[in-house]
Amino acid sequence: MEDTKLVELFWARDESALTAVSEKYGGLCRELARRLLGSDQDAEECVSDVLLRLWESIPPQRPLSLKAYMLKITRNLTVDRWRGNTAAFRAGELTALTPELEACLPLAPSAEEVSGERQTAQAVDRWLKTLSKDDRALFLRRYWFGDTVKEIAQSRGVPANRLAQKLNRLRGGLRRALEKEGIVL
Amino acid sequence: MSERCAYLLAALGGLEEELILEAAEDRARRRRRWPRRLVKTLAACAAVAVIGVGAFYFLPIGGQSGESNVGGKGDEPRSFLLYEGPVLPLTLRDDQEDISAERSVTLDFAGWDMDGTELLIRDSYTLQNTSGEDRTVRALYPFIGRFYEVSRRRPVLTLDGVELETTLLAGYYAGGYEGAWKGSIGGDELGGSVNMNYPDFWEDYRDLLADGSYFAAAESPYPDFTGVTAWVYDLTDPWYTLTEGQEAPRPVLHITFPLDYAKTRLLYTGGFSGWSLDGDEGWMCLLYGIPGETSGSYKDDGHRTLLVVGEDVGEVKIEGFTAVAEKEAQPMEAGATITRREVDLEEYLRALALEQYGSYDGQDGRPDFETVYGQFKLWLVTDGPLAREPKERYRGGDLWFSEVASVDRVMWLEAEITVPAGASVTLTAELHKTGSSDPFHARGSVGGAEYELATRLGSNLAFTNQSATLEDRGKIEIIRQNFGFDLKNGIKTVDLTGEIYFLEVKAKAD
Repeated sequence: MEDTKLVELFWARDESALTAVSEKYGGLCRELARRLLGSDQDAEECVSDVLLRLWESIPPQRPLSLKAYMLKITRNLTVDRWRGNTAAFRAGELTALTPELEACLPLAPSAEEVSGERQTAQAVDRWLKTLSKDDRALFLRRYWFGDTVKEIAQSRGVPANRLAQKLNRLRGGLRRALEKEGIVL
Repeated sequence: MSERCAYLLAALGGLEEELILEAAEDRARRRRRWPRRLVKTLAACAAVAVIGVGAFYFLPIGGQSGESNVGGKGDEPRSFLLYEGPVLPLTLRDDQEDISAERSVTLDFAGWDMDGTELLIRDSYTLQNTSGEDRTVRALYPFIGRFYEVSRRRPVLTLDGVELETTLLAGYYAGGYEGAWKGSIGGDELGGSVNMNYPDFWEDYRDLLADGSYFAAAESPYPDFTGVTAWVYDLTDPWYTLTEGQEAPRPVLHITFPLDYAKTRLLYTGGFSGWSLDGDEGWMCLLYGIPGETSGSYKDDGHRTLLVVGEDVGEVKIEGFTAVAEKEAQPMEAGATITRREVDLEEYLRALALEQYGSYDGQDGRPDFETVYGQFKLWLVTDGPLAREPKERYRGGDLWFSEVASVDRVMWLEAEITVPAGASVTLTAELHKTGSSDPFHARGSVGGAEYELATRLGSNLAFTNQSATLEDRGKIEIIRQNFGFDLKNGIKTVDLTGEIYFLEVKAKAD
């Protein structure tokens, strides 16, 4: 079923929308949550929460891409769950990502007001658009989807070391971009 | 994990959907991945194929003469029952485009003997700074080992001959687990995690280090149990009474209590002779024999401690039996005093770990307490009894502090060094390496000791050249190798262009 028809079902408050959307994108969301958290059970709970959030948010929302919309909700719920109990999800990729992302944090005086998440995301959006398509996908696969460097390297047929070095440069680039935009974290 | 970092992770959730879809498409184009197990199987098949075409000396079977000192150049490393892993190359904490490295490794058999099989390795790096500015960098020298032997095996780093002050960074257990029946017919399919499955092949370390995630995990903060309430049950003063005609040389107490494994975990520090856990019925039973008057040199006062984490257990029941074996057990009058107290889990475990740490071998060079304790806590929540799904090996709750000390792991020594503008410095790591071996010729070995060297694994250095020198000291015969040493023709220094090198030797016959 096409996304537009699925959205219409949600607007019509037709509960079959939940089954259909679960069949279409449930596996994708589950895989993302499992990868980021490292827990099958929590991934399953996350997907249930995503469906609930979909039901509550459509209407009034009318997402153009249901796939992207669900992935974003999944990731946000996953990160929330992880932040609530990081010790419980050490096996997940989110835990592995944090030391790497430290290199992206802008240097800033602590007295300044912290930039909003939306403002920060928009700054990252702008920086991503300055990159080549390949580099943009590389950064997002690692830090948004939680793919390991090795997995990305295998899928692209390039040495993992080279990708790791590239990611290192990208992290430095993001830090400089955020500093330039005056983002405070 | 810093809050700022978590905040950034959360903020990335708000990126534009078009960008997310673009990356999702990139993911969907991924190639099919071979399961690691299949790759290993294929590699083994390939090895058999090589042997089949007549390279009989690749896997010599007992009784081969020592005439050939060339060994099997072009051969592959193999797995070992007691595997020590390769010598790994130096790396830098941050990429440095202006620094290049020339590496020379010396394998010195001066102090080596077949019984000790410790080889002295001098792993030397000439670091050249091609920029016009001094470069201060943090060098990381990796080595494979176990906590309990670090005091003896810790490499010594020098910079232009002056010893460097180093700090130790430890990675988590480098291996996995396997079922009790692995290796038997049909046993592999049964799965399980009751036994350790240590790394036994260099590719195990390659998989571990290739993408940098193992190192990143080694730097992430350890779990903190501060504020987590736990309950300690002390069992003291065990007693028993024999009725007329009853014999019970070692009366056994059965400590039984209701336990919902999803909500409660029970930990203890040894002293129990067995346990059983019935998840369906929701109870657990621990057994311990009441110590007699002759318990050997170790004085056992019969004190046992249980630590309950999560929801407290219900009523604890103590029953006495005449023997451990269920079929022979007869009820008897026996018991112990039980007291219950509330503790802070972090404080309790820290005190326990401090006590255990005191028994570590060597005072100089051993890993610092916080590292050992941190790895202990990491084990608790990753594989141990506080993990979401503990390995079968640890489901009973025994706190195997010694396991943390004895498992294989990769560690790094970190030191700050400065490479002057347009100049070079020489960093040397000197270490004693035990050879990998197969006791009792378990895997077709002829009883040699094997040493391996990785050239680039886990390193971000730009190498201009790597070479190895063999100082055989007239003590060894080469069984297998892929370095290209030729003792007969005096070739003892070779350039290294491959990924992994190995040298398997035995003591030279008198």
